[in-house]
Amino acid sequence: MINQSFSPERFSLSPQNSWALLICQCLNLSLLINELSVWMLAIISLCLSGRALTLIKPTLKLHRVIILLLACAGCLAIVVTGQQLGVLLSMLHLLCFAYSLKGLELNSRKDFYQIVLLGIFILASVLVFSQSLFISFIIFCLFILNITVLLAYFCPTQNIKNPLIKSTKTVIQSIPLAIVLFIVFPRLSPFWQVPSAKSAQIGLSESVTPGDIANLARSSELAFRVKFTSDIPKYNQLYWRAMVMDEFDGRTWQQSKNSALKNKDNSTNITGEMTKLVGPQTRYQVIAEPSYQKWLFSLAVVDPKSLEANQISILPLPNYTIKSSKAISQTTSYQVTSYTATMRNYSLSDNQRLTNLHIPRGNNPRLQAQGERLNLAYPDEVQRAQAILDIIREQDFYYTLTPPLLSGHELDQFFYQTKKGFCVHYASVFTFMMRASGVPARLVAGYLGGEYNKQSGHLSIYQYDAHAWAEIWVENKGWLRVDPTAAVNPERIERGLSQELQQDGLFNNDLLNLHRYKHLAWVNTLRLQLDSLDYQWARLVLGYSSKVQYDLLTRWFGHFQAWKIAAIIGGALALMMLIMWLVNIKKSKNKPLVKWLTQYQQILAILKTKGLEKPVTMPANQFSDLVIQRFPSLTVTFIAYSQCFEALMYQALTDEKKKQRLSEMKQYQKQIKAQLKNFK
Amino acid sequence: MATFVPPIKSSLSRFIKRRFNRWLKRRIPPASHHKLSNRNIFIMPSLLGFAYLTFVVLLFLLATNYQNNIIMLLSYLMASLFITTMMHSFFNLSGIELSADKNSAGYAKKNIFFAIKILSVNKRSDLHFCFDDQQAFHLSQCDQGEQTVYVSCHYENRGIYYPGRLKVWSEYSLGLFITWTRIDFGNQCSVYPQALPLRDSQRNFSGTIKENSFVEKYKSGVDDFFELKTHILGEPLSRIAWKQFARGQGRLTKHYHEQQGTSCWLKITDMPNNGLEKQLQYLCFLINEYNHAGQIFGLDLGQEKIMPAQGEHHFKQCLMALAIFPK
Repeated sequence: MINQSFSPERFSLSPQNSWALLICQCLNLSLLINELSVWMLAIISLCLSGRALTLIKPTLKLHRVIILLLACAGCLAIVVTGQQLGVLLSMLHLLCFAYSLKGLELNSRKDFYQIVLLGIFILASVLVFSQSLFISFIIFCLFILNITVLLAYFCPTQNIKNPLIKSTKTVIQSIPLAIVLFIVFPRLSPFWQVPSAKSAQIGLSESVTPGDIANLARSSELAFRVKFTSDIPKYNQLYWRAMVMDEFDGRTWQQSKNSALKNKDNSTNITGEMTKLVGPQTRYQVIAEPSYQKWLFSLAVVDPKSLEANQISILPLPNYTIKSSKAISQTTSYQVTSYTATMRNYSLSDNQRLTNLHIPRGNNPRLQAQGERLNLAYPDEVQRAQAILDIIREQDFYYTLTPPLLSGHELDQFFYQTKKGFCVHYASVFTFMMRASGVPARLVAGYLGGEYNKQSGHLSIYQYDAHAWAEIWVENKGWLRVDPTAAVNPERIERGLSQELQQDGLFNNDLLNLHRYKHLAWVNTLRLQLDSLDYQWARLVLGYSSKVQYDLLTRWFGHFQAWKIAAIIGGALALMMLIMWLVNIKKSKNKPLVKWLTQYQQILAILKTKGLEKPVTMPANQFSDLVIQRFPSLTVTFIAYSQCFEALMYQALTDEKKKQRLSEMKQYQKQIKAQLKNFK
Repeated sequence: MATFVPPIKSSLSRFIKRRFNRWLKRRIPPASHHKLSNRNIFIMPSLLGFAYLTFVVLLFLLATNYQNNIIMLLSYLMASLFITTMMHSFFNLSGIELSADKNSAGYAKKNIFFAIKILSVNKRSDLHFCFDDQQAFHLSQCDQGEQTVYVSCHYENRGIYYPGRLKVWSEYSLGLFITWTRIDFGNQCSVYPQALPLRDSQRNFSGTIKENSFVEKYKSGVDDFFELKTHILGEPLSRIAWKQFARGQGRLTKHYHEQQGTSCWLKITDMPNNGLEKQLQYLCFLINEYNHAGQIFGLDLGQEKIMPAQGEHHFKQCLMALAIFPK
């Protein structure tokens, strides 16, 4: 009923606000640059520059045909690239495209509202891809900016600063209730399957060729974080297993296919056998960054029972690694308990033994020959392994992240000629030789060590901590870990990559990378501070699952009940409204009207009781005439009083004069009051 | 514009409207001065508000399906912002003091303005004012202190009208809510007939031309300046001696030497016979002309007669007689 009679106004945005909206659009879209295809980016930038043109030259109107062409081009780009992008990214493309195109058709208020809501939706979709503290903070700021554009429409001013301050205040006032809702509002399980973010896989790949991990070692991206609830093992014991590679084709190591399949059939069997856990417990929480792969990180041997309590479903594999049922596409945390002293002696089937002994015929003949010689020289497997390590230690092998390129029989070439390589080279050679000498052996890829952050007591494991080592099967002892890298570069095992090694080829394309300046003490402290903050964010906010929520709420409020939740939310809501109400009352009281106006109002109120009301439109001087007619005795005082009032109200006076006038006015006010008392 | 409305629906809506108005009358009784507070402010989510809420639910679903805590946090922040905005929308109107003149007058087919004085301690934004079915006035920024806005009424025909309640509304701060109030100042609007110029040829048509015919008198009397007297309230502003006023000699009125004895009568029967409304419109024009010229004149509408006089009061009285003349 109310809406109908509101007269429709012509919609127009002020130039400032139009620019603000455009800038807002650019910033929102810039967060998705990495996800959008080149074609889409080109079309979007065309749309945005078209909008900018119309703003620079308001007389310019984009022809409908141009807009139609842009629309067709965008749809075409989505259709063509749709197949390879997958559902989620296609939808994202469509969203961004619609968002930028809408800017060209801003004709009514509805369009404006739509564009603002679409902008916020784009911000939300950015969060599907990354949830780090940094990105979240940027999103928060951009959210305020988006709201500012909306607010500026309702209070047009010359500069955007005022609405910006207002909207920031409003959003900040909303934070407390949002936090309460976040903590207590029940978390639901997913209603339906959604397309997950498919991005280029990050971190270790499923196959390793000598030379691969060197690329990773150049990356200072975070791989995962670990918080130990028990004692932290020594640095050189932190072998984070990700995957085990037991298939070798002469060049590349990879996970054998049947080992993954087998696991599904007798997973109960594995759990049954793996319960013989001995030694001290190591309990820790892992917060893994999105890798878009299924591999998770753990220390061997994992207690399968400890995995059951997690939010995501994690399978323990017979090769002592763990695997998520879904690719990790967002920051994920899980709790693990490991028994590091347990022997990895899960029985080796004949089939597996064959796989772990397999060497392609005629591959790397010199190494094969040496392996066979070693078999004769050292009947004991452990001694044999030691012999190989001795060779590596005694000969002039050199550890470097920039080894020379290898070709042909790569391992032969490395071991007998170049002698320069890093962990994958050494682990490959070692595994190969052990296999050649008749010992089942395999390559394990993962990470080694981690950076300890004193502030929050967690370990951060970066991509440059990626590592590869070997395992050999010894009867009665099971799989033994052997790290040939220790023989050539013990420092890597004890403390991680040395500064010099990192400087060698590390981060040279990224000047802003804080890891580059580790040698500067204050930069390092700052970096650790930021890391600690980000960790807390990941732990408290990203890791706040329904289980954590349940535990927390039962701890605080006792038995979990729906009415309690409702009461908390209602209470918080009421409290927030009450506080805002009180603040508003106080604000109105603290800011009285300008003094002379209040005084004048007082006199008007008194006159009203005497039966003389000032018509709204009448200026003060005319009203004084009216007063004089009615109360002739007031003639002198009231005219002077009115003059003072008008001077204060409408003239630009210096502060001194103002004071003077005000004191005059006060005097007259007293006199008038006194005189008016005599009238009944 | 007549559109077909099902009788049941129309009677129902009329019934609701009547009930609502009766309730309003009890809730916000007529007064010349209103202070807006929670007693008389209404607040409702706008269309955008509902769209926004749907959007928040959508974000919540997205967050739940992706198990994404940050999107969830964003949706909670937006939900919370909805409440904050509601409070701000309310604060934007609450505390405003409004007063208005009860009466206003003007001509048909022209805008008639009611002055509304706004007294506010704080800055306000995006205020709209309007009477039912009338044009709205938009005040995008209301500064601290006193401010007067003019809200227009527009009527096609002469008569006495009651514009009804003044609607004040605002969509500040994010357009998510419409905050509104309907306050009653008991406004009354006198609408005079539209002034219809009378051409000379038509004047000659008008009945018998007497000695004191208005055409003659219209010319004389204006010419001979007689004296300056102190201005008395109600005298036409057109006769104030502005030169003297500017010199600081006070407000004086120019008086002209006139033949006081021969006053003229404006008679409805003298007007060209084009129907009653037309005749009244001619009279309105003439009254304006005479008043402007400072002429003494009387009005003869048949049953009702206004004795010859001059001045603002007389002028208004004559126009009022035209406005309320039975149809």
